[in-house]
Amino acid sequence: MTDTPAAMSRASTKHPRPGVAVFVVLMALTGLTSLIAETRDARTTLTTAVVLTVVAVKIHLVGTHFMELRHAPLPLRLLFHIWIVAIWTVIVVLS
Amino acid sequence: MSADAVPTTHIPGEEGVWVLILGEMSMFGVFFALYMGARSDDRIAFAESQQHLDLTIGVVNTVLLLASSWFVLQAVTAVRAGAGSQAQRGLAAAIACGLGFMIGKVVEYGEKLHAGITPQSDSLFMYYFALTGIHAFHVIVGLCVLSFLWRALRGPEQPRLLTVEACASYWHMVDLLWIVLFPLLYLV
Repeated sequence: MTDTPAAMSRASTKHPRPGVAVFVVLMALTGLTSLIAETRDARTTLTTAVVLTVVAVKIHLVGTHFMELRHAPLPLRLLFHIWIVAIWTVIVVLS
Repeated sequence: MSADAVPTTHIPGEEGVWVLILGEMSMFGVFFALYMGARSDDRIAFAESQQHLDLTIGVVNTVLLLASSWFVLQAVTAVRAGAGSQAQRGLAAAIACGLGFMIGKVVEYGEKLHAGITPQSDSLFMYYFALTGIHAFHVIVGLCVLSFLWRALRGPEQPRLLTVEACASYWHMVDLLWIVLFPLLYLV
């Protein structure tokens, strides 16, 4: 085992409740997308692009902070974020 | 954040689990594209059928999965700190949220079936039942994984940290797939 988990352990001992701020932001973004959805008449490509951008931010936050990919090697982080960009592009282009 | 100061790189879980996770994400990416392709062929019918989806349950289920992911993060952090019982509490809370999600899914399916809406009703509901059903299957698998972890933490031999991280990563994947699926079916 590398010393990384031990370092993480020390960090987490100092902050026993990690990810609180990220969780609050995720909740706020969920509320934002729901608010956008209230304007159901405004289902345009622009609306889809805005909603999907919020979704992309949420996935980035979950991946980076909850999945702890911020400590992962660059290729893994790249693959993860390429998926986000691909999903955003496919959905917005086909909307 | 102090954790950002960790100088070395570290794959959460084992490499193999990331092959599985990225494979599942790619598979769902194809599903999303198929859905959007079908939707672009008949936007009006999709928009009309979308009115029958229960937005409230969708939002509540989103909150439940996000909360469950946060609890899993707390559990992983507790395992690293050697706090087994705290990790168990985090996992129990995450499992409760996951079960809440499944109850919401059952209620939602029940409402649809009671209203005479089935996968055969139209294209949107065919995709709705298929995509949410496949995702729900992943939630059930994730719940089994978290339960396995919770049970392992009760034993005298603590599970390896890599095993804990792998199980956690799978559950987070279930969460992020729903983060896309929810707006795709209910919002846009």
